[in-house]
Amino acid sequence: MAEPLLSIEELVVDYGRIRALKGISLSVGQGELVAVIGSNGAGKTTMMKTISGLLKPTSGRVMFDGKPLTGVPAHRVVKLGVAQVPEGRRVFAQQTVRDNLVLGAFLRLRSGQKREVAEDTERMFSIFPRLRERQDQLAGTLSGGEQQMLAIARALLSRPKLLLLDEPSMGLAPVIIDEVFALIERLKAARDTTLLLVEQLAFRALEVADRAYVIEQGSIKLAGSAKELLANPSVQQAYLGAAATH
Amino acid sequence: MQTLQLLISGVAQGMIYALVAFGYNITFATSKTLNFSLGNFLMLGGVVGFILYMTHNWPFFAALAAVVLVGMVGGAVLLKVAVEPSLNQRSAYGWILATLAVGIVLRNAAEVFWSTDDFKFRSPLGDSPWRFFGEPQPDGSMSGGLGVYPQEVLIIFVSLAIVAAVELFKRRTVFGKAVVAVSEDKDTASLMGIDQKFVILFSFMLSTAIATVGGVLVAPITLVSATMGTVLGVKAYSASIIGGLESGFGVVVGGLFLGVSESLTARFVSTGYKDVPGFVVLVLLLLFKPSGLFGRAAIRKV
Amino acid sequence: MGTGAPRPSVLRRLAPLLLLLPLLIPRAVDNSYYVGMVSRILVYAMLVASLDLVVGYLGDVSIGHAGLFAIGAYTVAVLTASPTLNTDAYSTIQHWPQLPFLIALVPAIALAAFAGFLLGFPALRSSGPYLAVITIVYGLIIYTFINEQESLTNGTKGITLTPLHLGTLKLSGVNYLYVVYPVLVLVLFVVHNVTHSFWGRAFEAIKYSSVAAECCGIGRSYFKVSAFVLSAAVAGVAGGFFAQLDSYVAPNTFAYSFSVEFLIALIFGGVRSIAGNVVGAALVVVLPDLFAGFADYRLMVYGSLLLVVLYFVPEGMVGLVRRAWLRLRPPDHAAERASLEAQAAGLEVLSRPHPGGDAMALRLEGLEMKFGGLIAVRDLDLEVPRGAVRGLIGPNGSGKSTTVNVLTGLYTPTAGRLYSFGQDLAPLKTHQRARAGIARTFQNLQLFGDLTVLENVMVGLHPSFQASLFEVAFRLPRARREEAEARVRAYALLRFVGLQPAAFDKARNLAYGQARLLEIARALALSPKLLLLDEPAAGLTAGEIQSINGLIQKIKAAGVSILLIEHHMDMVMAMSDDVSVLDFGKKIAEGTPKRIQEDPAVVEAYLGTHKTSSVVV
Repeated sequence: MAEPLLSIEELVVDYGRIRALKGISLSVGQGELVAVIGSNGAGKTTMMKTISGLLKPTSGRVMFDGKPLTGVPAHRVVKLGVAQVPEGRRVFAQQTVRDNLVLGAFLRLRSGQKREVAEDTERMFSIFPRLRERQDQLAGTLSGGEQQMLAIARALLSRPKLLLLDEPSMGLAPVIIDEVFALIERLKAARDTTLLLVEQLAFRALEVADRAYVIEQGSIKLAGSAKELLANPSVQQAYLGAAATH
Repeated sequence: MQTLQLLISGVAQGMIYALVAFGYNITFATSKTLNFSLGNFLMLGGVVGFILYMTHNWPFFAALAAVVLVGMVGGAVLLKVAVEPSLNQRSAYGWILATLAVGIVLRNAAEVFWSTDDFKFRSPLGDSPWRFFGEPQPDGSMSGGLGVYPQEVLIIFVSLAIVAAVELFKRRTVFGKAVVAVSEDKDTASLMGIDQKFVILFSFMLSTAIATVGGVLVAPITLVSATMGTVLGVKAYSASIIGGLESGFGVVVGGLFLGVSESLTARFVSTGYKDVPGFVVLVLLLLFKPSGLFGRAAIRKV
Repeated sequence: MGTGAPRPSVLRRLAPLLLLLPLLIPRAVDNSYYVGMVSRILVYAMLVASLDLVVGYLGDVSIGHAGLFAIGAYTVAVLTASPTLNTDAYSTIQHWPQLPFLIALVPAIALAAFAGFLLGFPALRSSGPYLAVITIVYGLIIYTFINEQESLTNGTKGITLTPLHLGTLKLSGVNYLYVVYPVLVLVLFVVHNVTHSFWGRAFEAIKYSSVAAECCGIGRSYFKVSAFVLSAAVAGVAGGFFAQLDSYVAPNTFAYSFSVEFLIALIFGGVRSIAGNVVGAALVVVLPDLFAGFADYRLMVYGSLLLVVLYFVPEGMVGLVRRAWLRLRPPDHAAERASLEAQAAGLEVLSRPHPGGDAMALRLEGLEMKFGGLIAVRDLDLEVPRGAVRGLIGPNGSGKSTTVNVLTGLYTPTAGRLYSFGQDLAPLKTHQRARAGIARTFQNLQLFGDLTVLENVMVGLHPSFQASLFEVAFRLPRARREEAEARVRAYALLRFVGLQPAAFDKARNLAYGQARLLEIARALALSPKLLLLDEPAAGLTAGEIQSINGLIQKIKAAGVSILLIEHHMDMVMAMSDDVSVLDFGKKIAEGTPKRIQEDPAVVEAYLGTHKTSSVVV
């Protein structure tokens, strides 16, 4: 098997005084869509932030495209080809939709790819027609679903080899979640970006993913193909607890 | 007529406050710290400008360029020496004290290595007022009417130009947008590939450079001395707080309010008390709007 | 401190005699210049101590204390000045009565305290850079006033005073030390007593987390304004004695830079320490003298010194010495521990709440909380029966924390009613709800880091203190007794949660799991009828969760009703009698844990809809 695009080895991360990740290992192959599922507070976001360089691991390694990511500051990780759609979307609320997209392409614009970025922006607008309509609006005035789309478009504009999607469903109504997941399936079908999806809504994530890991209390509890996991009752137990006695 | 003249000097004074206040805002936006030595950076600008322009007779613009350079280097040094170390510590007020300390050192250094006296700084536009609506005299000059010092006009225009230029830079350029992004959300900005440390360094250099230019601008009106920045720095700080620390428009409002209230009080009440009405309004304002006129109120979160 | 400690040795009892030593200085040092410097240090030490109350204990930076100091100095000067020494055409000082010094001191303190009261109000709403500017501006206004109000203050010419004398004995010069020193000792005694009592703990609690302080029953406004008043009163005393130091006052002393210098002095000596205050004051007085040859460089040295101190010794000189000392001789708490252990044994820590009132420990009716356009909680009905454990769960952002914040009074709901045992909670402020028996823990720990573990619990006992400020300030019997009782009770609470081995550690040094236990102990200190546990298991290991489970059962057994918010489902399902589930601010299910686990709406909220296979149960 070819070298995976991303591999995480025995990653331990302390968040203040909390040990948020207790030594997890996983890998994402080129072109795959891998989901990491688990309930709130399981350590999913910590893992994402460590990959993207916002948090420093206590021990363990993150390898990307044959190079270590551990200890690389966040703004350089982007340069290496990893983009993150952060939890809670985090669009720049006080800047316009278009400016948010410009910021997504920050590094490319600084290295003079003005024309290519303009083309890519145009492509984003055709994928997300609502962003085109609202390009001059402040991002903070968009609805939650629109902001999620903007955050994804913004991340894609850095032309990442690996896209990290952190909780894209958070705080969105079910109909909008359908739209977001339809988009994720589209990205997957295009197969030019590898995707690592962290999601609380396990069934949703498992329906689109190739493979998945179940993370609970900072450790990986289950791993396997998405299909297997979908049929595995332990997944639900990881969320709603062991069967109650009363 | 006299009131109009007062208003113009008030506006000129106010624009200096606004300009320095703008300097406070710039670093607050990116680093959530204020540079309490900014008034003394203004003094540094005035003194360096004086030494080069008046003592060594450099051309005005060469002196100004040197002053800007001094400001930028000073800002970088300040960040490295005073702000960064104290941000790494637990203490919530370390940066207040550290920047105050730098201010004290700057001021005392100017006193020791330069002079403790006040000096007149020649305006590049000349020191005699432009007269409007006055009585023409037989020798062709005017008397009475409205007298406006050219430096006051210069202050108003240059300050407005600097504020406008920085605002345009923030809105129109990619790097400017990156600066705004860092002030809004540091982590997400670095996920865009923006080096937030560099942006913060840039903001400190810009802020002190603006203050030093402010020193050269205000010097022909106030005289140059090692103490010229102390009270001015406090007033500019007040202006930025009145405006709400986050708002470029707010600082201009705050600065103008302080400048005009000062010149009107000086004329109609007493020179000694000229600062008091502005200060009292500031305290009262913060009682009712704890984050200034245009600041955003914070929601208490647990 | 150390009220619970065993009988001190004879040596310790004699230790206060050391306090008399400085009185020998005039005999030992045959140089009136140096003796004068000592008097100056003593006066300044009072001012630094006053600043410490606000900066060190309350955590608000004041850059305007020179103004408060000036009020004390000028009140004394104006009221005691003799007309003959201030003959000047503009001066109207002769209109004022020439009061004796000690009598003039009373209005001096009162005026300064009133000025502090006025300064306290903006401090309630503003903080950080906003409060800093208020204090600066406040100082400048007072400075302008004394400079300009010539008819009262003689303007820039200043006021010359008659040197103090007692009959024919002149109390100026060398003898002034005998006047100032007892006052300094008294002032520092009072400051020490206040800061080492429930008052001081309230200040520090507000500093670390005003929300947590209020949830411990501390009225934030009252204590914050009081701290400013106390600090200003002390600054007024210092100012009054300053006026007699040179028998001359002039406005220039009280400029902005004076405030900054004293702030530097405070940090240099070390905050929250009386010794530090004296050391800092000494710096201000001695340093210019050391640099007599290069007096011009004085401020540069100050500034650089401050940078070095901030960078390398943020705890100040005294902190540095203390740290070194503690390394040499680690503190021995064995005796105090044994005494507390003996007294705490068998103490009932959770008094069973009285029956009576409504049967519902908590009842929410139609609660709604909007933030702007966002509805965080909508039409929520929720009940916690007396003595029951009610679980409250829901995905991220479903409104759980908002609900807790509404319950504790941090947010005012936009609609709906809330009752606890039949009592309407709406009119009660946060600290009143705490006193009414509603205690909470915090999801993101809100401990008071520099206080010891024991003291953290004592903050929770705040409502049990009855002693007046006067009793506290002079360590009168009731204050001492209450303090001793609270220590024992706090220790007993630590035993209850199993944290007594760490009783004398700083809270910030606790391991995470211990910190969670301390949060619970502090909440229990309020003797709550209803306990809100906000994610008590977050970040804990399986073993630690087990011990929290055991603790919850013990608390429940004592009759305390509990609302348990938690993500850790094994815990919620095992502990709760009934569980309510929130999603998007709405209650989507309620019932026994077993029913909740099987509820399709809950499964969907947590795991998402499932098209390809049926819901697995």
